[in-house]
Amino acid sequence: MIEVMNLYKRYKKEYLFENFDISFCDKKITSIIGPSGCGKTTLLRMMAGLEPYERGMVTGINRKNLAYVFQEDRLLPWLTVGENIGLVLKTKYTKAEADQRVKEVLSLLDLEEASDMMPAELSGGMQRRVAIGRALAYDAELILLDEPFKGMDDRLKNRVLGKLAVAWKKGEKTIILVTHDLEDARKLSDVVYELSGRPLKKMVL
Amino acid sequence: MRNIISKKPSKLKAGLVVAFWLMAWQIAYVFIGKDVVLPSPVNTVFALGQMMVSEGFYQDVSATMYRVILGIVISFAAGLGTAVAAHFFFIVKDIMGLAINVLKSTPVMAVIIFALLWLSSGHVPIFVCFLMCYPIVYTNVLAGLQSLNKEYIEMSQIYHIRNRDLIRYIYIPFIKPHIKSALSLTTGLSWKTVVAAEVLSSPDYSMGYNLLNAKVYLETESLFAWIIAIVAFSMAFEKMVNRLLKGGEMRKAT
Repeated sequence: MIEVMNLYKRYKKEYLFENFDISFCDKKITSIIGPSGCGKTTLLRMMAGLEPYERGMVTGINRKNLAYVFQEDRLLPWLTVGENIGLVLKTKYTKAEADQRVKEVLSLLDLEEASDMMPAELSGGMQRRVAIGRALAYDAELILLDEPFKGMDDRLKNRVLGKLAVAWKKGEKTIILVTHDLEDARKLSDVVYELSGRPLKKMVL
Repeated sequence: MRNIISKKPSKLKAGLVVAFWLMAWQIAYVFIGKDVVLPSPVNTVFALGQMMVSEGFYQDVSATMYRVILGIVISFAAGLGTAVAAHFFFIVKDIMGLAINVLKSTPVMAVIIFALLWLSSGHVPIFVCFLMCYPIVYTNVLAGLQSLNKEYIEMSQIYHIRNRDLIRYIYIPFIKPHIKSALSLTTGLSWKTVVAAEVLSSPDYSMGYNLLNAKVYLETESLFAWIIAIVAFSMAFEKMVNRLLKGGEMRKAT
């Protein structure tokens, strides 16, 4: 169980998080929805250790084994799609294993033909899928997804949602999804939290 | 009115431009009529030819080129090292900031005179070249490091990318264009500063010392011939460096 307890985080002079608690079940998909700028991304960043907070505790996360799909794709423009995914696998896998994982994930996300392409040659939706693929290939216990369907049309989004569900069933990972779309959240998740207000309050939907 | 010479660079165009300036030189020579003040292009070419077959010419050229290359190499080693340190430690950035500003505004001649007090004549041009090129390298590399996207560093933290991969795949690609720009800027400058320092420090083998001798003995043809040789070698060196840089890019593209 991942638990965020008694969290305090100030943004400028105002408390964004004040005595904030939230928990996420292991091996389940949990979604967080809420209006833009409410603090969903900040929560993910604090959980991943990328953002400091004033007080509180985050437990149950092995930060050495988590994957994160950021709001921006963060693909290195000078590496091919295959190299971008392969780069994050170098610490965990041998070259042969990494190559195999890259192939598998590209095939899962229908990106086999893009393996040798540069990110700039891909559409926004394809770049997003590569970023998702990189997180899936890393085979982490916990995957944090921040607006992973941004820039995808409904058809593509549904396909990727399906692929994510398949990947989750295969590995039974803990997935935390941040989105502003309740429908996406409901389709994929076991639990949906709605965040709103300042300081933030959570509500289980 | 339409340009009679097309905008597209061609050998013919370059030849016409050279011919124009040679003609202007010849006219000026005829107009002035004093070889000591302005030698004729023909005499200068003759002096250059004589110089090129003389024994010491290539020794002088090699010595100057050695100083240019060594000056550039030292300025790159120091510039890269201190820029990396300045990127990670604010105190280094503050300390170096003042030094770089002072160096940027210091006249070359002041540096040469100062260096003459400390160093042997052969080392002065190398030191001056280093001091003049170093701020360019430092500033460019630091700009490259500071343009590095924080988002990629966060990505590398999340996925625990190894330090050597971080340097190879994230840091180096970010600073590479800035290093290339620094190299391109320093190649021309290095020749100017090395020759200027050689003129004042007069090391045994150097193009600058020959320039000074030609002036002292009023051998104006020889003086012009040395100037032409310096400009030609400097331009050839710049072209070679640019070709190497472009070659690297082409290889990468293919």
